[in-house]
Order: sequence, then structure tokens, then C-alpha cells
Amino acid sequence: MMPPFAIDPAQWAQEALDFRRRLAAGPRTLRQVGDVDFGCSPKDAVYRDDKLTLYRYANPDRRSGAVPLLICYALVNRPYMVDLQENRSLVRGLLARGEDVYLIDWGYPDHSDRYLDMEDYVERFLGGCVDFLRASHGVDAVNLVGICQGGVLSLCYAALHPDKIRNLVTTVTPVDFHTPDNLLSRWIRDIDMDLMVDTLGNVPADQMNVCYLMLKPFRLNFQKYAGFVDTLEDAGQVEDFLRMEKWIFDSPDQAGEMLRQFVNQFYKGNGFVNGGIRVGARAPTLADVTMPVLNIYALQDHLVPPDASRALAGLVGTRDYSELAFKGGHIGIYVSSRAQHEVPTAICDWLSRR
Amino acid sequence: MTTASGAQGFGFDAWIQPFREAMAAFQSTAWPGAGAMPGAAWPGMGAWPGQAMGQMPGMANAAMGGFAPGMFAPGMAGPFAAMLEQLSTLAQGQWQQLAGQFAGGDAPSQWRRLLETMAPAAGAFDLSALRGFDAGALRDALSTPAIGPMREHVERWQKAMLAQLDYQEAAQAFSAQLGEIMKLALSYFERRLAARSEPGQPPASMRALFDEWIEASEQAWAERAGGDAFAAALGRYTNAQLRVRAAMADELNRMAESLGLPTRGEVDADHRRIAMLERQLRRVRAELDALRRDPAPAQAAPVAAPKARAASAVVPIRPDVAVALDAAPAPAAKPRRAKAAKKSRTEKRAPRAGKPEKRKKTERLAASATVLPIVAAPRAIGTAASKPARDAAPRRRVGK
Repeated sequence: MMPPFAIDPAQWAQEALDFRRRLAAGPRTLRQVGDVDFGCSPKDAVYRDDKLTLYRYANPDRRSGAVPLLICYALVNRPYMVDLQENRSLVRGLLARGEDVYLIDWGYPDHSDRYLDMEDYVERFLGGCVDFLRASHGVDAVNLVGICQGGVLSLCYAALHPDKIRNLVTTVTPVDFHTPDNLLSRWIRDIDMDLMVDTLGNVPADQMNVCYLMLKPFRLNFQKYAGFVDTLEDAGQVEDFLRMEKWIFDSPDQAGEMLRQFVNQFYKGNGFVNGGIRVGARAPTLADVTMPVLNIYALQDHLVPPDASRALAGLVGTRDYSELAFKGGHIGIYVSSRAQHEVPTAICDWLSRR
Repeated sequence: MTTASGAQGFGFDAWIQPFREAMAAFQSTAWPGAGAMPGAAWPGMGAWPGQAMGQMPGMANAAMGGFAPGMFAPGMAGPFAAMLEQLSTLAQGQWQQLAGQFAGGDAPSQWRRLLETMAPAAGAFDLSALRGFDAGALRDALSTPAIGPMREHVERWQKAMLAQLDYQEAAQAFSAQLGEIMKLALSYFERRLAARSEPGQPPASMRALFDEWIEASEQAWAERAGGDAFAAALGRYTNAQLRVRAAMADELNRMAESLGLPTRGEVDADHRRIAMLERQLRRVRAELDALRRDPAPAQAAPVAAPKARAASAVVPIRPDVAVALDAAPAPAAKPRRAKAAKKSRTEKRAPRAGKPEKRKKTERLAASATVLPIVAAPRAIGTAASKPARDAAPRRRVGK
């Protein structure tokens, strides 16, 4: 009977020696790379509210009279993912096509932000940015791009203020949180979120990251680093890896009350589908999202399964709804080489027709 | 089997230990200050699931040790490094012996032995700390009503100890779930190898073998981790841990209070008040802005807003917006799920509908930031559109 795998001690020994050589090259390569930088497009801070900063990207190719395009990122990671490096930048793609791009940086919440809630994030922070842009540009409504959790906030805001949003683009945004393939949602439903927030206050970023790593624990904790060792002799690849690694673990703590409401209303209550969402005293529903909507989702997304995003089609109130299915994952939709052309082109082409 | 490092067997311990030692030495030279990285000192709650797993006997060294403190250090090669390190030492002499055992016949049983030594044995999940006393009797004792002048304190301590017992039981149940997944993963691993050996194309490299293990493990994880039993065990474990932490925090708060120190609860109370005041101030400011712009509609808005959209405008906090909502056309009567699901590319479905009417006069809201200047008031620190010259200025990179 054959052994379960081919045994060639000489070849395996060579692999082991290659591994040791690459590992030995690691310190030299890492010293060569140094601390990674991120964000490749120049930008200026134009508005602040407490820890929130609104940036405007410089754009010599900006179209005259372009409607401001506001990017609303998630709270659970840092927004520089959209402009990570020169060859991985959604922002650069949008700028190259003449858009006037703004980005919300939520900052890093601390204990003093524990009691910020959905109303604060939707009405005060996101709404403050929208009103600032409307006023400074002299327009009634702006274009809004919501990313992941930021897409949920954007949908809420658009439902509450449809007159202020001219066009809405959602990317990898969960709408139906109870699809069968949503592992995160399945776990969270058995966790007492009230107890967690009452006990912890803000929820630590590292705890959130462990949660995400548990979704694919063997790939994300083992295989990924095996691949990293393979690159240790290539400074360019190491730099790319470290930049992505920094983004993954450079995570803000989550403001307690906001996370409590978000989890209870969406992950547990599935509010967009079942109703019952509250933003302060108001109750947004997707039927009130009446502006044109472009919904972009990733087919290999393990954090926001495609069905979770596609549910928007049947719930949104607009008659002008479009979808783009991107062949990639939750992060690949922003940083993969194919995404650099496909995603900004799709957004800008869609906007240009409206 | 004795490896070059002296560790007995081919178990996970033997794979992990050299890696830990190597990475510790590596960190000290290549990553100064790496000890402060997440995982070395777990911030906040920290115990979900990292710290608690580290506390559980056997868990830190089990196959799920990837969640243990120290295993998440960014930039590290992960346990794969240990495996390759181990194989590297094997390659320097021991490997031939292992290969000889396989080549000498009875390969399946040899392979099973190898897998079994790699597997987290059931004993690894035993909570040895629970041995030696009757947890049931302790639980009964802790459930006895307290009496006397210290009864309130005793009752609180009893609850804290019961929470600890609950946590230990929950941890054991969760560990059992992880162990089941690892056993399943190993069976899948074995099956995948057997399937690959039949066509005569078994994995011929360490990396190929490693990838097979990853695929098998992820397959097992996907099957079990999404199940009700796992979710319930994880939820119970997490909630139990939170209760222990809450009890500890309560005791610390009491201690701080007795020493005249401000407590977390007192600080939180102030933060709550500030958040509420800021929220109320924002609402008042919004109403004032609306009154300044257009007094008549603003006064009528609170009554008019719910009329058209009772579901979405319970109590308008922006009267000016409520007016606009009323003016907007109603949304489509019924969403079109079926048609939308077929679209896979960007495509315009229908002429734009439901667009709110444009206002005759553009509203200027910039002044709103100066209506009631307070510390937390939002402020424009540049102008978005009125300073086109800014783009011509030297480019400045802005980090976080």
C-alpha cells in the first residue's frame, strides 16, 4: 500500500533549508522595509467634529461642477483601506475619473465616547459631513458611498434624509443579516450584547479582531503567515504584506452604545428586513431610500455573504436600483489588481448617467 | 520518537515550542518592543477567547492554540514556522528515520499514529483545576442564603464564585467543541490524503501537505462552527466570562470607593451626561437653524412630518428635513426583488424616480457651526469647495 504522501527526504530537507534561508533573510528585509506608510493620495482636513475628521482629496483632474462624493467607511477598521498605496487605491481610481472625493475618518473612540449611539453616528457625524458639503458646495444633495458597516449607516441616513443624497452607492454592505452563511451573525445571536457593553464599556478592537480571525482560523492564523515567510526575500512583497497587516490590526475600539445598538438592531434583530430600527427617535426603513442606488458586493465575501447584500434589491424603495457582483473577497474588492479598474469604473459610469 | 529538540513525540507541543523559542529570540533582535504587541498583553477584556483559552489547562497547547496569547503577534510567521522548524531539524537526521518507518510497511498505522500524536488528545481539554473537589457540592454551598451583618457582601461573593464555576463549565464545554472540530479536521485530512494517493499524485512537498491540512481544517471548521451547538457553547462561554469580569470590576470599584478614589462607574456617569447634553444641544441647534432659515414651515413641521411617512418620521429632530420629506414622492409600492436578483452587472433599470424636488434657493448651513459655540461643536477647518486654490498648493500627506 502506498504511504499517504510521497516521501522524498531529500526534497523535504531542501524545503526546510529554503525555509530557514528565507527566515534568516527576514530581519534584513524588515530593516530594509522599515515602518510602512499608507495613504498615497494627498488630502486636506476640511471639517472636524470631536474625533471625526472629514478629508478632501486633492484632484487636479476634478470635473467642473462635480457633485461631492462622500465615502463613509466602517467603524471597525481604519478608512485608509480605500487609499492604501498607489496600486491599491479606490480613491485614486475615482480621482482619475474626475470625482471630487471626500472621506470620513471616524477616529479612535476612547472611554469618553462610550455613550455615543446610532443617532450620534448617523445624524451628528455622517449628517454633519453631508450638511457641511451641501453648504460649502452650494448643492442640495451629495453622492454617498457607504462601505460595509458604513454602508449600513449610509442606508439609514439616506432613508432619513433622501433629499440630501443624490445617489447612493453601497459596497459589501450587509442588509439581510440572517442569511444561513453568515457565520458572524450566527455566533453573535447567542452572545449577550447588553452584558458585554455593560461590562466592558467600549469593546476592545483586539476582541473584534479575534472574532474575525475565528471565521477562517486556519487560513488567517496559519496559512497566511506561511505565505509571508515565502516572501521574506522580497522587500516589495514584504512591504505590501506589512501594510495590509497594519490595516487589519489597526482597529479602533468600538463605542459601547453604538455597538450595542448596531448588534441588537441588525445582527440580532435583522432590522432592515424585520423593521424596528431606531436612530434616536426616528425609524428609518429602506422603503424610504428613494434615490438611485448602486449595490456592489463581493462573490467570495466571508464577512458579508453576497446574499446578505443582494437582499437590498427587494427592500429598497427606489426604482433605480443597480447591482455589481465583483469576483473577489471582502477586502479584494478594494485592493485586488482587478478591482482597481472595475470598481471605480463601475461607480463613475453609473454616476455619470444620473 | 524523540526529536532533535528533545521533545517527546510528534505532538503539537513539540511543534510549537521551538517556534516560540525561535520567535522570542527573533523578536528580541528584529522586533524591538514586540512584547507589547497584542497577544503578549491582551488589552481590555482580552479573554475572548485568547486569555481564557490560555488559562484553560491544555488549551494553550492544543491545536486551537492559534487563539492563545502570543499567537496573534502581527508579523510573525505563525505556527507554520514551528512545523517547518521541526521538519527542518528532522531533515537533519531524524527525518530519514521517520521515512524509514513509513517505508518499512504498515504505513497507514504509522500515519494514524502520527495524526494521533498531532491531534489534541481528549485529555488536553480536561480542566484539571476542577479535579479534587466536588463542583456540585461547592455550587450547593454557594447557593445557601447568607445571614448576618455581612450577608450582602457574602451574597455578592457567592455570586461571583458561582459565576466563576459557570465560566469553568462553559470553558470546558467550549473546549470540547473545539476538540470535536479538530478530530473532524484530522479525519478529513486523512481522507484527503487517501484520495490523493489513489490517483498516484500524493502531495509531494511539505507545503502541499500543509495546504491539505489547512483545507481539511477549514472544512471541518465551516461545518461545525456554524452549527447551533458551537454557537451555543461559544455564547455561553463568552457570557460566563463577562459575568466573571463584571463581578471582578464590581469588587474593584467598591475597593476604589472605600479608598476615596473615583470609580469607573462615576466616570461613566459623567460621560453619559455629556453625551446626552451634546445630543440635546445638537437637536436644539438644528431647530434654531431651521427657524432662522424658514420660520413658518419649521413651526409646522413637527405636526406635518408623520403624516406622509409615519413609519420613518416618528419625531422629527430636523424640522427642515421633515418638510422636505413630506414634499418627496412616495417610494415604489412594492420592491422588485426578482428582477433585481438577476442583475449581475451595472445596469440602469428605470428612469430616476422618487427624486426629491430641488429647492428653489440653496440653503447655506455653514453658519450652523457657530450658532451655539461649545467645546464639542463641529467646525469647518477648511472649505470644501470655495478654495480651489488649495489643490494647487504643495501636496501634503495626511496620516491618521
